Amino acid sequence: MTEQLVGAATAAPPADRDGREAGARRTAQLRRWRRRGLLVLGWLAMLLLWEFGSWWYGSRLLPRPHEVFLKAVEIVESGNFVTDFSASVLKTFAGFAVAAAVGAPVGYLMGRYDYWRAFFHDGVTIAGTIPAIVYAVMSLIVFGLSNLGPILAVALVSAPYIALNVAEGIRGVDRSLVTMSEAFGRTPRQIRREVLIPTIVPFVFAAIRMCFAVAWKVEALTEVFGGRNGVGFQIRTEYQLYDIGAVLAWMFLFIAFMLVIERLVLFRAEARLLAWRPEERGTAL
Amino acid sequence: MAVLTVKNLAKTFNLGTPRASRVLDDITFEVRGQTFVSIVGPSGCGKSTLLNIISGVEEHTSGEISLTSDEGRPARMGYVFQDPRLLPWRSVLRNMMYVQDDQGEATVARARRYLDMVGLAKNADFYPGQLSGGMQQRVGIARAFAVEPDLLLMDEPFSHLDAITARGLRAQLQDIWAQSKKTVVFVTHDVVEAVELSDRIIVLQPGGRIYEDIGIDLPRPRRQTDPTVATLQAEVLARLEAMKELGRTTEPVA
Ligand SMILES: Nc1ncnc2c1ncn2[C@@H]1O[C@H](COP(=O)(O)OP(=O)(O)O)[C@@H](O)[C@H]1O
Ligand SMILES: [Mg+2]
Repeated sequence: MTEQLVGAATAAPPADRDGREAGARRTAQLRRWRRRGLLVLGWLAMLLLWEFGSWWYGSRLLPRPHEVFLKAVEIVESGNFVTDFSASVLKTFAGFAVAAAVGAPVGYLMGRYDYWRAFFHDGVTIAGTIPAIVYAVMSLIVFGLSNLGPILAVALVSAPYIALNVAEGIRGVDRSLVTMSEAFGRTPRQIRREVLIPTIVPFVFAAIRMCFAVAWKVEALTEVFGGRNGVGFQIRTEYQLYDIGAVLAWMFLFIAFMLVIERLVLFRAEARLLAWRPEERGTAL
Repeated sequence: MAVLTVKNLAKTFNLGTPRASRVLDDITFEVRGQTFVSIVGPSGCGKSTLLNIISGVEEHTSGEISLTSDEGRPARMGYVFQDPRLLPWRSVLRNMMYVQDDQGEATVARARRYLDMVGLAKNADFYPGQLSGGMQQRVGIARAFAVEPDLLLMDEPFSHLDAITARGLRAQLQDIWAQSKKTVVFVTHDVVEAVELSDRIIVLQPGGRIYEDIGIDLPRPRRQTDPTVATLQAEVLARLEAMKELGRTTEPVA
């Protein structure tokens, strides 16, 4: 009986197995190409709709796609692009820094002590629910026409997320790893560095990624109303000159730029830091 | 020679509250160098609590504990837990180095040597998530031996593993212990395992008192299939049956 079972398990000739694997590969490839095809079709449909809109409303009101594209090239070729984008990005990250400086300690207290959790919980939750536009308006009222407005807006939008995520991270610390460290005579400092912080890192990254998606839009919005430079400021200027093509060009450039930062910088850094997670290893290496 | 002395040790959880419960009561024993001692008893009788107190992770209520090391330097302890307790973000070797004070090359070489002894030399750079439960537990064992502890504490290290893996690891543990001759306090609820591994068995009874202190004088290495081992295992089991009878007549724990 046993021998038969063993025989059956090893009976499948390798050639047959290779054939089946090749077949599965082909099917997967076909599916991939079909998906790419649909992606391209989606883009074409969008552009067609845009062209139709331009024709319907007139290209002064809604410039045609290639006009916007040429405008974008023009913007990139003039020096404005670099100065204004770096201004916007710097303000976004400055806002993050402020948010982290305030949010992380609050989150630490919330995660570590029940009293502080009770103290902060509702306030932080409400602060995280307030619409971003309200923060933009508040920042304008506080700082008026200034670079500090966008920074404050980003900080206000991000800080609650960071606090809640850090708190969640701290609460997720594995007590048994802390006990293990103590049993082997590790110092509190070592335990903080080797157990606490690695536990929190994924949560902080989740917070930053979530915030980033909202933060750069708030940053640009605040610049539109009260910036002295940056992408939002350029959009307002072009709007006042009634150059819709330039407004759209700046917008698309900004979107593209921020997506690149999100994908390349944030995802890469995260994959690098979280390489130990079995499911992340593939992307990290 | 390392000496562990435990004198009149008692532990009450939630002392001074209505939920106060005495877990250990008047425990006294001494372990002198290079001995493998098992602490055996039914679950909930305070074995883990006793180990945690010895390791310093848990406070005790009254009594004394002392551990002296070989050369007057501060005594080192190693601990093997029921679960592996590895840092998931550190590789196997870096997990072993985490509990070392010295980070020099000699220490790394020693860690690798113990990793080799548990058969994981090839897995030094793996993350714990890439190893099976049994392999992770072996890393935990290697980690504890590699600190060259004066006292090695083990808390039911094989109880979460399947029978075949556990048997293999017990054999490995015997080998490593024979080579390194540490002082070991090994907690288990499994009498058969205790007889196979120990020079001496301390039996705890429910309520946290020592019921019996049994010397096991059998040649090593011990084989499960050896009839003298089996006979002694049956004998100790019978004595524990007698304890259960006694357990029913003792007063409930405060
Ligand atoms: N932190 C604690 N607080 C209150 N009671 C505890 C605590 N830890 C353990 N106990 C109790 O102490 C008793 C002994 O626990 P433990 O030492 O884990 O037993 P064993 O390891 O022998 O199974 C159990 O009844 C358990 O409920
Ligand atoms: Mg236990």
